Amino acid sequence: MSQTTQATAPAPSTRPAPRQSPLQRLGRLGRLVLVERSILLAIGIVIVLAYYGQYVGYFTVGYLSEQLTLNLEIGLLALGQLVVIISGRGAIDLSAGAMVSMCSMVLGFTAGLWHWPFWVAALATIGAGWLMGALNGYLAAYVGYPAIIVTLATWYVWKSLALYVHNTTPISSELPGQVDWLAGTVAGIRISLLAVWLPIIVLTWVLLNRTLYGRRLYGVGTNDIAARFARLQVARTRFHAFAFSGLMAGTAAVTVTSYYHSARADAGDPMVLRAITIAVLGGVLISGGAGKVSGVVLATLLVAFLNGGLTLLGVESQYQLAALGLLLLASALLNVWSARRFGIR
Amino acid sequence: MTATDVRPHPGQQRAEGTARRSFAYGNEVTLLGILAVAWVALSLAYPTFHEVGNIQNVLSSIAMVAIVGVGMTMVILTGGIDVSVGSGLAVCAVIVAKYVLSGGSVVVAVALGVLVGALLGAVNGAIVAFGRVAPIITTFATLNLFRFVSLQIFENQQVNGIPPTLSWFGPTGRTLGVPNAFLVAVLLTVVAWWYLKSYSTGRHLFAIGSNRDTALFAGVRVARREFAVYVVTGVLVGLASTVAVGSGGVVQPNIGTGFELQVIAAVVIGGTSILGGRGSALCTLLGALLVGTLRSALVTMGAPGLLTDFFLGVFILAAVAVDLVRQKRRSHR
Repeated sequence: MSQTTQATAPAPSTRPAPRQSPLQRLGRLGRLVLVERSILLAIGIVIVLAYYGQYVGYFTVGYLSEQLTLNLEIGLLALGQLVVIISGRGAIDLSAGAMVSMCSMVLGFTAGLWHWPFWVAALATIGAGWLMGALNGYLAAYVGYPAIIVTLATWYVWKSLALYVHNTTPISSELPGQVDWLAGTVAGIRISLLAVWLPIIVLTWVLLNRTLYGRRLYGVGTNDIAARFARLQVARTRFHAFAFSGLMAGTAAVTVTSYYHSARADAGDPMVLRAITIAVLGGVLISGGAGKVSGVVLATLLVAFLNGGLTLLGVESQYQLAALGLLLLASALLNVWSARRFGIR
Repeated sequence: MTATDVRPHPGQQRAEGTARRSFAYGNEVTLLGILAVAWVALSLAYPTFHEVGNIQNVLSSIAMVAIVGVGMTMVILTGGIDVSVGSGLAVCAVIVAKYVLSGGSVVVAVALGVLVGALLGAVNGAIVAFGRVAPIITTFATLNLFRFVSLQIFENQQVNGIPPTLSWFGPTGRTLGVPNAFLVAVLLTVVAWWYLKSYSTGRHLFAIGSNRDTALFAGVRVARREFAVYVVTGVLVGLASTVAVGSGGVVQPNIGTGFELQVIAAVVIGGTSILGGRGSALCTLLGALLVGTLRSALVTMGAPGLLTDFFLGVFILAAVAVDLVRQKRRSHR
């Protein structure tokens, strides 16, 4: 007995030491930066802002809040993606941008053409977003469609319907003045940031971290079979995740329509790439069950300020498309790589 | 066990057995039935529908979808997806168009398109297979990257005055009245069907889609196969771009937007499971025919063009619903 232990004990030391990556040799700090995505993102934001410091007059509350306002809708959609992707089984919401377009047209029709009171119209728009998200959720969670194919199909369904309902022309002049309320400023900061974005960030954080639903969502996303055996309502949890993404799309439609004072059928077209990029950059794992509000919010800030920086440099918006695509690939590779290295789940 | 050596090993014979049973199960027969009913109903309602000219139009308009559908079937068989084919088509088409405009020859133009397509496919394949990034994320990112690349080459202008060098592939190039591009699609489909049925590397695609880990343990070189299917799709996108440029004239910078939806629609309407592991290239051809019929019918019936994607989306949802019902029935057996 003792002989066998003696024989086996030295064996591990004779094995070649596992290959170490340069970052592993960097030690705990490198590991922490990779595991805690917030730290990496915070470093990125500091670098970008330090770069802003070179330009006089741009490192101001007004300019920064302007950049955030331009990316407000994308920040909202990214929170929606966060919740959907956490729910697992490769879930993702490709239809979010098309839902924004469709909801924008709903607001245009209700507030502009049908003269509903603005607040009723806004609530109807958000409700329409919830319904569209609920349709995705119903098909994906209860009927069992793969999320990719549902949201790919509804993406084109809403996109083409949004273009059709008002024959591709935007609704602008018919919109009442109240619509612009969210576009105003308080002490240099946009009202939409304070009245919409901030509360929704807090609410999402509470939802994910301080409610039973949030715990269920992470559980279902991590392992839905185990979750079923633990008698969690798997389908219901997933359904509400997609519906949440629809709510975000409806809210984003209200803010984007008020910002441009125009209900456009292509309002959401460029948003979905950015939202998914932000979610992945924020450290949300596409396999589900992992992702934080803090990561997504910091990634939103980073992408917003990066966009502003590129605009300052005079880079054309086409290149920003390429930059976003590359950023998405790079952060997805980083997620896969660090998850494999350090076994984050 | 090496996975690529002998062909007729027992596991494969079993696999062929299931393939035959699923044929008898009637996916092809069902699709042909739906197609026949649709054509008879439409021709009765609209006499112009079964005119030779319209049939030729349908066949040539679905050729690109059917060609790329062959590659997409393989990608979806492995449990992946490629939404970048539309943007890839734009890159290949603009390069081929500019080459033809500069007076290039047919052979080099086709080779160029195929080569560029293969390169784009290799980018997708490398990131998915070796980088292990989810296919939807990868190809969604490259959808935008390729679009950017094509816009750079277009220099934001349409390409005008393209000579009809590639007209053999275009809508006017016909053999015995059948558009050549459609014949190419049929040929590719038959080759792919034979390959998927009879070669062990073809069977591997089914194995990977059914259970990736099990395939890995069974000695399938999973990463290599995954890489290959994306490259094949890229090659076929390159080939499809020669069809797009075929008629000559003008190539618009927005070429290929929404093309991925038509291709994926053809594949899933053909009954290939979006979850991977089940499907057939033959059915994709029939699916493409059904998509072409739908589009043609919408035009004939005077439905607004803006709603084409709406009906395609609804059609995809219906087709996947059928697949889900069938799967449920199978698991209850």
